[in-house]
Amino acid sequence: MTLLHLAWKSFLNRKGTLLMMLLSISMSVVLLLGVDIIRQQAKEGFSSTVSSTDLIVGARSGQINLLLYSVFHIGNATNNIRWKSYEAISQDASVKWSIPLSLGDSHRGFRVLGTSSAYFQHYRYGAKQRLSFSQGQAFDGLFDVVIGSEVAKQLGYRLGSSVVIAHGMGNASLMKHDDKPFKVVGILQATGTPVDKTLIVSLAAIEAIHVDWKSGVQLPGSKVTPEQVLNMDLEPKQITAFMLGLNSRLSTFHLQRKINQYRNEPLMAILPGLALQELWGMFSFVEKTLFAISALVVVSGVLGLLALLLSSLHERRREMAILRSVGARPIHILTLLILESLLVTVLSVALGVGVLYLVMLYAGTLIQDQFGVRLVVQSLNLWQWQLIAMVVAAGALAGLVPGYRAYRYSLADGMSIKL
Amino acid sequence: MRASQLDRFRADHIGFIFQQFNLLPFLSLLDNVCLPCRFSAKRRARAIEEFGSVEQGAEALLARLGLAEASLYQKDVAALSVGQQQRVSAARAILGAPEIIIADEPTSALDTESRDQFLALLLSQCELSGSTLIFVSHDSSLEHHFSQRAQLMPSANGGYSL
Repeated sequence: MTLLHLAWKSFLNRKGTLLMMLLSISMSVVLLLGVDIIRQQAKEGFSSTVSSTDLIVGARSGQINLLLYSVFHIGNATNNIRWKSYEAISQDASVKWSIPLSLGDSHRGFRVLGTSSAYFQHYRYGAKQRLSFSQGQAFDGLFDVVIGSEVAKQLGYRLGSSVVIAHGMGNASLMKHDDKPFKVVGILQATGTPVDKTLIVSLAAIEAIHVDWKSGVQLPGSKVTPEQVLNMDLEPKQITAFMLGLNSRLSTFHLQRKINQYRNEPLMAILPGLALQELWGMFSFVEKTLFAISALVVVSGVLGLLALLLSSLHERRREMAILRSVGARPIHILTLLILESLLVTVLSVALGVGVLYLVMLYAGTLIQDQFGVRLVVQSLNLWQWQLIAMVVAAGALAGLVPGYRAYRYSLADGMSIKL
Repeated sequence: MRASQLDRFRADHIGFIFQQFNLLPFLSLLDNVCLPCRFSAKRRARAIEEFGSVEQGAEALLARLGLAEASLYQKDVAALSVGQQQRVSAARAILGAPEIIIADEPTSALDTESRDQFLALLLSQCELSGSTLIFVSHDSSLEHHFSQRAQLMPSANGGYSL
């Protein structure tokens, strides 16, 4: 029976109050680690939205704006770019592949992306993963549409479902391209990126549904039927942006400069990695605030423990005096209280980590549905272990205060018991 | 001696029996008896020398003091009767054979019959382990059990003196 054993027995004797404390500290540990895990995984998910793409090119604006509308499908382009510019640049010797992107239409709140078959071939996300189909295949016919997993799930679409694309954004768009409905031919696997919330059609289809439109409205009396449109020249005149993959990364900056100085049209090329970093940097204060709040919750938990230990000290003077009478020295009493506080924090941390993993295991899908953050169950990283060590150290420190008080008491009381 | 040396000396050489027993309510009977030997290496060594191990010593002493049922040993002390608790506290004081055992009115909570029984047991165990018993009591009828007697008189400073 060591001091630890004694501390444990004493703990069990007062388990009612201490258990509440344990729960409160473990919840604060859940919060602290949970915030950090979500932060870390959101950052990973965020920066893995697009990979392997060397340059993104759009109309001249800001690099974050361009990144937001081309990759995250948030906001709108300030301007479109000419198809001819795309053709010219994509034929540059250093370009290995290119993906044209045409945005602007929507379907029940989800963005519609017009692109070429190169999208399915070359677009990469995460650890250079390519898009794969859970059902069906890429579009082939003019009115074929491939939908992201979220679109399929939320709208309940299957292969063969009919889709009417609305002009512009918004759920209640009055102007619909309902004369030219699309058919779902492919459903993509979930990627955890904005692709999940996108409907993908060919550039020609975007052109086809706008063939009888001008300045955002359908021209009255000049309806072109889907049959007629098949025989028309559907080469797009303009697109929103395009992605480039290069033969050699070394030529990235050279080509970027070349595009930025393109004479025929004001264009801008950005490096997605850098732009993603800059964008994430804008969120860093949120990240820091969340961390500060969760750290304060831990501090309040530890302070609660301190208050509890201090308040229980008076009624435990008898216990201390008995220990002194059987030969315990004041240093033993001090050690005992620190051990007790350590015991509570270590158990709290263990419980907290346990709860956290249970939540990640069982509520992971719920969190992904609600917040779009994919929680991958993985082991704690070094920083998270350091956080845990800090919590335990704080617990030990909290034990030091009542420990010192008890030390002083036991020096003053000796073996005499004051009830 | 400095305070810490006093602490050590007390732990090694003196066992206490109190009027209120002062057992730790959250420890088992056996753990309570073994407690002093956890804090004093000397008493631990003597207990091991005499009985083989601290736990065996505790069991042997409890048996000698009339608490032979092994089923009791893992129980909380709160489950015991007053007389049993006082015997446990006596076993705690004697284990490890400290040179001096100070008993502070240990019999005042006991009725006459168990008082005499307890005193007899205590004296015989002190003899067995070779300990000197200093017994404090108001009860002068117990006087004939002891070899020496010292009477304390109230002193001018509010304490007591010989």
